[in-house]
Amino acid sequence: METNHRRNQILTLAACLTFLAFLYVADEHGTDYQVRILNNCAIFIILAVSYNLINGVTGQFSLEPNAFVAIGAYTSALLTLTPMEKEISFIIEPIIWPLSVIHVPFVVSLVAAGVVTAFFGFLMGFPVFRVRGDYLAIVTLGFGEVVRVIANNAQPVTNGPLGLKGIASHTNLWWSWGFAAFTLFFIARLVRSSYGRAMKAIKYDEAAAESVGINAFWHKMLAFTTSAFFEGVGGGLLAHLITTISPTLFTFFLTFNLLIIIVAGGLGSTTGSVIAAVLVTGGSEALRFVEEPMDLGILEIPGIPGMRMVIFSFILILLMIFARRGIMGTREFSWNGVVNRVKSLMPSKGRNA
Amino acid sequence: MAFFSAEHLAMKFGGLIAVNDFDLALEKGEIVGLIGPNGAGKTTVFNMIAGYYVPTGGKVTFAGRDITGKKANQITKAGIARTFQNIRLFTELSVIENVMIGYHCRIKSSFLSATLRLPLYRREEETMRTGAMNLLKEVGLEDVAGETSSALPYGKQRRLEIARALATGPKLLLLDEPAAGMNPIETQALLDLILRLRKDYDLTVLLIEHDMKFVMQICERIKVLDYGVTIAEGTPYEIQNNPRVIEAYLGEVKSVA
Repeated sequence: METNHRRNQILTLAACLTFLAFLYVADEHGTDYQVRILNNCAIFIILAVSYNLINGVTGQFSLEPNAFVAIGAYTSALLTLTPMEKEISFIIEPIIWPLSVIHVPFVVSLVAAGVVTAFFGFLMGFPVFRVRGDYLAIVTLGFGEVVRVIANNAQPVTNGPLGLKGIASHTNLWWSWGFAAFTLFFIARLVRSSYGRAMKAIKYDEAAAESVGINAFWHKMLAFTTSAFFEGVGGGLLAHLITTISPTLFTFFLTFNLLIIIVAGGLGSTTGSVIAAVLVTGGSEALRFVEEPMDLGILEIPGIPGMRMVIFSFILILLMIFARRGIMGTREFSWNGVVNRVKSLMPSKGRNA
Repeated sequence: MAFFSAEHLAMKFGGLIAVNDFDLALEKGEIVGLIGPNGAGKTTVFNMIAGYYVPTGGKVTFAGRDITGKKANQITKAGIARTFQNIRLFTELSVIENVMIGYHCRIKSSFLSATLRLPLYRREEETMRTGAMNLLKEVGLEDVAGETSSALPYGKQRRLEIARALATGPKLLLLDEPAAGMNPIETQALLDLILRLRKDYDLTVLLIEHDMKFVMQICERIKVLDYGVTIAEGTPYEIQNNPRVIEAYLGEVKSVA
């Protein structure tokens, strides 16, 4: 037991160092396109893992991450844009004070994005957790739309449909993966703690959870607010990656993408969310060719934007038919699991040789 | 003043009176049975006491405090734990996790200190784990601690539910048909278990049960409900010979002319 613990620590350290080396090489020698995909992966890991906390671990089927990401993105972007830049972009209606003069470093803006989003999540939790199940999904979906519509219309704050332009591209591999690592560390530990167990209890049987003294409402709020915090940070990173944000970026489509990720990964499995986030982000790049015009000899297909989503939806349907529990089910990664798997493969290799 | 008392409890669902004018006083350490034909309102009484229903009338006091209308989790924290008629475990979690969740309502560590594994939390986690293991030993499930709870056979699931309820540190334990679906040997083991737990954990027990042999053996007092109304109360011997009870269970004795 003790030696396993030691071994696992060494393996973790080795894996981290390898990954750091990989990031360094990617940062130095990768093309812009490759770096962009890696950044996207990290941000989607943050978003998926935190969305999974409320949807998968606590079992509260909700559809609001686009709202949280939007709040985080706008908050951090408004904080890092210089007063000058803000004055130039807000052409229809001037930006309200104090936002017009505030200018903070990138990292502060990310933390602020998290805190502000968590605060909105906390407030939103009071009404939405009065309902359960399908009703919760509908109410949170409504909130997602409300935030988008507000972003479209609150011109003195968000610049309305024009959006925010010229956001400094601060997000690099170190920031995005750094926060992804922190998110993973925090949420994985939370899930393994007593509070995480209580959240799982609520997922499996809320009445029974109440019967052992768990305040279901507050634990849902805890999961929801934590989830909101990280969605907000992810939104901030996203804003500083794509440098231009507008309300159209935060439609239900974003939530739907995240939903595909966490369902494909296995609802409730943090490991699954990570794997699926990488697969879906990488996969949607790899599948870009299907949207281009194709010449199949007898058949010529013009480029159809959105074809990728057709393929993703099809994959989701297949998953629901053949692997309802996703890639990981509710299992998690552990070194012991990996080592046992490798050990079980070893003897058969020996025989074959 | 009684350790636990329910006075004039009533529950109406629309026009249906599920329970009416229910009175019950428990002394510390008693084992009391609540029996009655199907649909008599026994589980409704449990649900009112345990905070799942807000009674439409009456008052519940426990350890000197008025707990009427409090939420289920608050009532558990106050020291009343329950089990369910249709076992309700956290099915996909392991046996030991099920019990450890029972300790959650007593931990002092905040959410942040638990997530960051600060020393206080680590100690508490350790206490939870050893406590849970001891409870599993107590109910004879220590060798299946790591298994998924839904994989256990029925009788063991019932005992696991009792262990989980005990983890919350109750003074009063409400057992809803603990012997349902058990064979005579398992029932006897359950009887011994409940008696032992009462002694070891200083418990007062209120139970609903249809197995009359079990009820008559274990209960010091019995209360009989029929159509939401208390029709009899007394020692097992008195209940067995009470004509109203016999009538409620077997139907009216028609005189043959």
